[in-house]
Amino acid sequence: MLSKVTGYVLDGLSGYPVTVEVDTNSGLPVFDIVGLPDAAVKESKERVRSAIKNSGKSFPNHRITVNLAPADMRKEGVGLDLPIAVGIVVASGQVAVKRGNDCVLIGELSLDGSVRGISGVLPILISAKEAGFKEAIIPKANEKEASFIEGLTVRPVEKLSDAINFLSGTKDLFPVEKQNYFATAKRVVYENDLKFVKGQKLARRALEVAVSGNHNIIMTGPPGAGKTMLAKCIPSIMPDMDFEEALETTKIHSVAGILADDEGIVYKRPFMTPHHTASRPSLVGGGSSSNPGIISLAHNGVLFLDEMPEYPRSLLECLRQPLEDRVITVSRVKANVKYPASFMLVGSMNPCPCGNYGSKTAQCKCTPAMIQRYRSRISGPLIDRMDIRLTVGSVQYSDLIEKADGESSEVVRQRVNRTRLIQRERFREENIKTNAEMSEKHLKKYCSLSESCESILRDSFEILNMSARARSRILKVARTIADMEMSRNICEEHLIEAISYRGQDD
Amino acid sequence: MNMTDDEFAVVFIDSFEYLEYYKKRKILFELYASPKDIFKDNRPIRQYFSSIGKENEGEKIISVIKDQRMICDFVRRSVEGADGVIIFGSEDYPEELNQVPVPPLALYYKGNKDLLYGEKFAIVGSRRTLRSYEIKTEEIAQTLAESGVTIVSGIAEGGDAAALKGASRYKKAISVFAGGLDCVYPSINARLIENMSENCLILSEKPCKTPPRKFYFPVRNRIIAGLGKGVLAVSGNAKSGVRYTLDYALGCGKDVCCFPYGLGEIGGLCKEYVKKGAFMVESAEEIAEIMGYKLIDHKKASLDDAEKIVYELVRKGAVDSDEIAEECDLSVSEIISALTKLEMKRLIVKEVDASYHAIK
Repeated sequence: MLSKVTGYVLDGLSGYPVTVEVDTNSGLPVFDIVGLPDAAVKESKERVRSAIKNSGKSFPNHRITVNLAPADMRKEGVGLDLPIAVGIVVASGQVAVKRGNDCVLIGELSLDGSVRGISGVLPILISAKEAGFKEAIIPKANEKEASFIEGLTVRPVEKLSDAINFLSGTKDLFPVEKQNYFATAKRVVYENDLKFVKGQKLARRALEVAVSGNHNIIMTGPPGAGKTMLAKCIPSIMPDMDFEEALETTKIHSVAGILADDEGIVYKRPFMTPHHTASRPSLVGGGSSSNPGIISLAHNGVLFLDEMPEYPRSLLECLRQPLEDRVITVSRVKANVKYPASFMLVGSMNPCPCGNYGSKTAQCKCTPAMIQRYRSRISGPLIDRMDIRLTVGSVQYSDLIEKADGESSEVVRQRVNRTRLIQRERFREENIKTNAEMSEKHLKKYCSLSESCESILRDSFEILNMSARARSRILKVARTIADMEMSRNICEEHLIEAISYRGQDD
Repeated sequence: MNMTDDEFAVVFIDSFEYLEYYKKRKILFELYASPKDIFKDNRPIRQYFSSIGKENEGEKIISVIKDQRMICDFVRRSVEGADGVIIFGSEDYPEELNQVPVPPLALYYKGNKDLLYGEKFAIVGSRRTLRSYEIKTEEIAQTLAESGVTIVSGIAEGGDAAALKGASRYKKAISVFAGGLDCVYPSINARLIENMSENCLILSEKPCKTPPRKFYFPVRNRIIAGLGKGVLAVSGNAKSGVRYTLDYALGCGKDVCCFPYGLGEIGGLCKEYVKKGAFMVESAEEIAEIMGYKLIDHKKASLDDAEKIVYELVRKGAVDSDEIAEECDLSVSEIISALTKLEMKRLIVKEVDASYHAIK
């Protein structure tokens, strides 16, 4: 007897339907799976056998052939356990399918017949919905992820027997309760808040400017100046994620399997801090099946590289293309996947290897050549993409004890939200969202300078020894500052403030 | 390049890298009536070397002298890359250098030779110089150069480069190399030097193609000290090579000026020489007064209200934007703007550690 059930397999950030065909024939009892299954799918034989047995059904004593169609595509992951098991039970004639012809089944089986959660449920469900499926049966553990998808009835199951009983019409399964993103998103609480940052008024302002325009920022300062603390506060002042952004980020996190159990969707902007020993595939994505890398996990959030010169140069150079295109294509033997990677790059570094360069009281022990070498570890093209170069001074002891709490992140975030809104309005017709993404064409259109501003800029290049390539960077930042002050045009003070965020080496 | 016969002879003998200075000087200026005569008669050389028991060395030199092609090779190699050479004892030779110990036998130069004969002042500093002091140095060098004083310095990063940068704006800079003229070290200053070799003057006592060695630097410093009417030390720690320059200058009875450094700060060398009696200076005006230079007057830059407040606070000693923010009612963005404007007017300067200092 033949049965057909639909499963789903993940391919990058989307999925494709797999028709699981099971046929039982007379002959020696052999269990064969065909249709390019990978190791995990092949192993499902054993899980399926025990799970069926322990769910009160019997494993048919026939020759069983399972075909995974389309047959020419590789099937990966453990999500096909459930459809295969259901297919076998149906094919052996133990139950008859009464409903759910249009239903997608996904889930991993345990030997005792219970259904375990898998990664990548959200992207699978979104693809299934787009492919026209109306119903899905998923593991109970992934219930939360599914609760934000409209237009698809999702039924969570705990045991294989539940799924079989539902399909045969002997038991009802309650669909997942839908949640509203905006109703739940308000609860976001970030661990680090700007109000805990003492002093550092300049740095706070620079961070606000950076976040307002989504500018990459690099902080230079002696050890203990609070660079890391400041960086950790960035997500808390970033604008709230809208539903689409949250969904995009959740998809990636779901594929990577790092989604928190109690939250179905990523509310918080991600803050990723790869260690400097991280490998290239872990950073940009890779592995045999092209998994997303850290930069994709930081999508819509912050990628923080602490002590940037410590990272191998080859690793840092990998960031250039994603910073420009905001996507990364990971090509490996088995898959060729495009992941979004639109992140705000935040870097920190010391002024020199010992950290005391420029200090009036502590003696720097580095030779000029050492300092030169240390700085040149971050290549010119990469540092060029850092719009704001902030110098963070060391914190005095008195700052730590006397000062009252500063402005809280909440207040700053309100302002940032407003500035981002202005940008979104302006770029409605363009393909970009923020000032940092502006190209030369946009600069010409949106950052025209008055004559007096132009002359200030020209003077500053001459007097402050800036390189010509700093120009577009300064214009972008000036545009952001003008937006923060809700000014239509870039005025002199905006431009001058933007100039002050240049680096030592400009 | 045209050379007189005497110059040719001096350059030739000078190109023997391992021949000691006193032997070179003896051969060129004592054994013969004029240096060019060495090619005519080699008996005095032979006599001299046998009298000091170094016949072999003498024979080596004589064997080269006999070979016309080798002589030309030696000389061409030595002057390739230079505009000319000034030899000891000639009319062109700068008077001041006769006072220094072991005056150089030949000075290879590139650029405007006339700078050697005007008013000269030496500015030296170590490679580790505070950014604000570098700016200050540049400023002083520029002011002095504008008023017609040629600045003599080395070539290293930090204090030296700042002085040259300032002075070269008015084409009044001399850089003295430790190695040959074509060996720019450190290479980071190559651009500055390239610019200087056209408009200003670069100078070396070593033949071209001589790579700079560690021990050439202190020796080179006697030329810097010798050329300047006075010396300003802008930075330096106890072990800094600036010490040699200052000692040579004091040995020649010249005025030594130093930048001020505070208690517990770097700049040990400057403090040490101030204690020994060097002048402590902070501005071109003070140097002009000590050295008797006349400076060109400049108008003061006009400031707006915020700039005035911030400038006063920086002068009073508020060093970073946080401190300034505490002392006045301006917003952070206003303070940042004012600081940048003041920086552009060259009234204050930003240090590597984000602190600001007034330089006027």
